[in-house]
Amino acid sequence: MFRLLYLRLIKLHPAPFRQRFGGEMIDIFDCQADGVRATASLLADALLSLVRQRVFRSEFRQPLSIKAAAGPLLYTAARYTPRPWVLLNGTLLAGALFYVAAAVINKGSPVKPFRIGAHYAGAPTSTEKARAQAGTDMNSIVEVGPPFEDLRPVTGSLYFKSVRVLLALDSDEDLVISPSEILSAPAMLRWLDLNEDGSLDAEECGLFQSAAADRSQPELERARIAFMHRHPVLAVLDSNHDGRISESEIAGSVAALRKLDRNGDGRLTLDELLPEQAARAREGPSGQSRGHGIA
Amino acid sequence: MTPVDDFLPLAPATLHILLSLAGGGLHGYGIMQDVLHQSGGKYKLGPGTLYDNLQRLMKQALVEEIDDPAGENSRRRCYQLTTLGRALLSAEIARLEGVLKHAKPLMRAPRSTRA
Repeated sequence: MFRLLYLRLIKLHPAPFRQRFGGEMIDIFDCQADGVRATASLLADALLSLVRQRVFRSEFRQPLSIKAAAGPLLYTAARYTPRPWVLLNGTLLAGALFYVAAAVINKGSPVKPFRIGAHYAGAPTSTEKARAQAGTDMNSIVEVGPPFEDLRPVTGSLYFKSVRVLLALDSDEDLVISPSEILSAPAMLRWLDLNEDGSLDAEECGLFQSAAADRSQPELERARIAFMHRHPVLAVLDSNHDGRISESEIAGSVAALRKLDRNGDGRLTLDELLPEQAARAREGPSGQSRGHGIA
Repeated sequence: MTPVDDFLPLAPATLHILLSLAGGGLHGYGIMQDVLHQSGGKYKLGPGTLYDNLQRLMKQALVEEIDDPAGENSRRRCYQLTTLGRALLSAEIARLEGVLKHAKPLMRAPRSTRA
């Protein structure tokens, strides 16, 4: 096994060195490798030699020699020039193939484009800026491919994990709050009441405040209220918008949750629960927001 | 400045290899054994180090390859000093003698203080 390893190391040496001295080195290895220590020493020596040859002995490596005197590197198989009509045919054929390929690339794809963002010219912030931007502002729409429907379950799963109320309500973890799960909402919400004060604050609903110790009490309170407003399910449960789901709001959670059921199918799906989906549904199919940059 | 001065001082491995070849042509394994003998068993030259040095010494025309006088093993090649190699070895020995000449009195009566 050690001999094989030694042979491998010799084989890794640059070819000129290996061809000249490799055989002698192997002979010496066969003579001297009569113990573990001697073998290890020989292997280490070969490894060092390999490093030396590869790193420091580049001047001994023979470059690939091309015998220029022997003749040109490339030869033509025949000494004739094509006739003009053949060249014309070839040009037309190449053009036709290019046109067909371009047409297939442009229109042949089954994937329909869709809009991922738009930019609308905004009001200039100053006279100088307006002068500088005159004639350079663009109205552009970027359209590339179909919506990524497959990502919705992933997004939904992450969202349910971030909002603890949804995680508790969705007992079968199918990312849908079924009618039976809506009915059991009060019990599940009470289960989230970790401090047993009868109501749910933002932290119990899933708010995670990093470095909370560094923030002032008003900042923390603002963050709590913003969290409760941001998520549709919390916004409907916290009907008085005080940043807490009180005991009475927990008791009335069934009716509150049913307000989110816009399509009236009795259950709450991602369309009705995700903040951006809910906002889009509120705006309606013709809703279109205007803004600067990529939306 | 003679041409050999460019090579001085010699590295220990180079010096030992040139010394082992001073007595005549030797093959690689013979050089290794001779180096071991020269150093009283303290300096063991590995084949990688040996052939790396031999490659460089041949490139510098200090050592040349000759036919194996015994003709025992066709895979073993013999090496011997060239004229330049012998001149270099002489120059290195002279340099070492100078060093020894300077060092011996110092070692007998070391200076008490140094600036």
